[in-house]
Amino acid sequence: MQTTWLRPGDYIAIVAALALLVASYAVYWSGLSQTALAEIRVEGKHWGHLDLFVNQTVTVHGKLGDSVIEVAGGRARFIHSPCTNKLCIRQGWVHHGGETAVCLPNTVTLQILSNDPRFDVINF
Amino acid sequence: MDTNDKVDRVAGLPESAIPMLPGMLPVTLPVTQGDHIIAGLAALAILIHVAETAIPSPLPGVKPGLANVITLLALLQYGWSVACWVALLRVVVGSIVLGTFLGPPFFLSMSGTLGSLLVLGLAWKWNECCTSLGAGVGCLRFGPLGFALMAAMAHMYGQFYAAYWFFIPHDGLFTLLPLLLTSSVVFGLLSGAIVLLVLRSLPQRTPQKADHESN
Repeated sequence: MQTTWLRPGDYIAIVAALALLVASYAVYWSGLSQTALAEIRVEGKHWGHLDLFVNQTVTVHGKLGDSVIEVAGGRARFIHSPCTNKLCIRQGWVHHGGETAVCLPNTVTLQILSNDPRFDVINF
Repeated sequence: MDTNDKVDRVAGLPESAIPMLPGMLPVTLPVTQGDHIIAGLAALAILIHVAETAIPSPLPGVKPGLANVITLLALLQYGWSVACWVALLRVVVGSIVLGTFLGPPFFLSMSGTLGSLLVLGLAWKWNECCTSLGAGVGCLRFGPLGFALMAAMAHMYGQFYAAYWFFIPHDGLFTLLPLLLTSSVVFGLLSGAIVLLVLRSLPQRTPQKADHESN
């Protein structure tokens, strides 16, 4: 019955599957933000929202001093902070929903808002 | 193969061996040849499914999916409804055997299987439309490799979105999707190749109308 390996429809299926595969890498591994807003909190309290598609530099006054947060190309990062370890700066760019960069000594958090901010994981 | 072979038998026991209270009526389940085929294929699929858990996986969700070979063989030889029975029996009984029935892995498996059965049904209908149009018309029929690839992709998408909507509604999950899709393309083509090799050794058979008649 099936002695031929590839039938006409198979070529279409393979091409479409490979195109979908490449597109998935391009979309989900590109580093671009899927959502447009970042939220900054100081000492746990809401400080402000940032529009990720407007390139800007924001100075946030925290417990130790001023942290500077930069928004560029749909992503955000800490570029200056008064802490000693600079872990917030070393976190680098945050872009996906749910990703955070936090300066704990200065009590400043930067989080990209995701589509459903209520849950990270649900377990039964 | 005689599909009109209906057998009246109560689990192979003589009627006298079954304890009856006054007023009870014996229930007989006629077993058709189609039932035997489905049961045999499903048993094979469950065996492969359970054995496959011994293979280590680099990522949760990346499996060779070899039991799908049985589903595809059922589709190509006996039709879509037999394939549905085999696939759903495999998911339910396999999860009972593995101890994950009604847990999160069961729902992921079920959603993936439902997605792949839907896509297989559509592709099967497409092939049937091509056949009914007759020879000479340029219609792109699918072969086993096409079926296997599309079923694997649909399975992965069904599982992924079930996980995203019900278990991990975190956008970071999408970073995993390209890797999962890569594995599904690779293993889908592998299953399709296995199906082709198996079909060469089996006697020629196209699905009959009588295959999905039951009782």
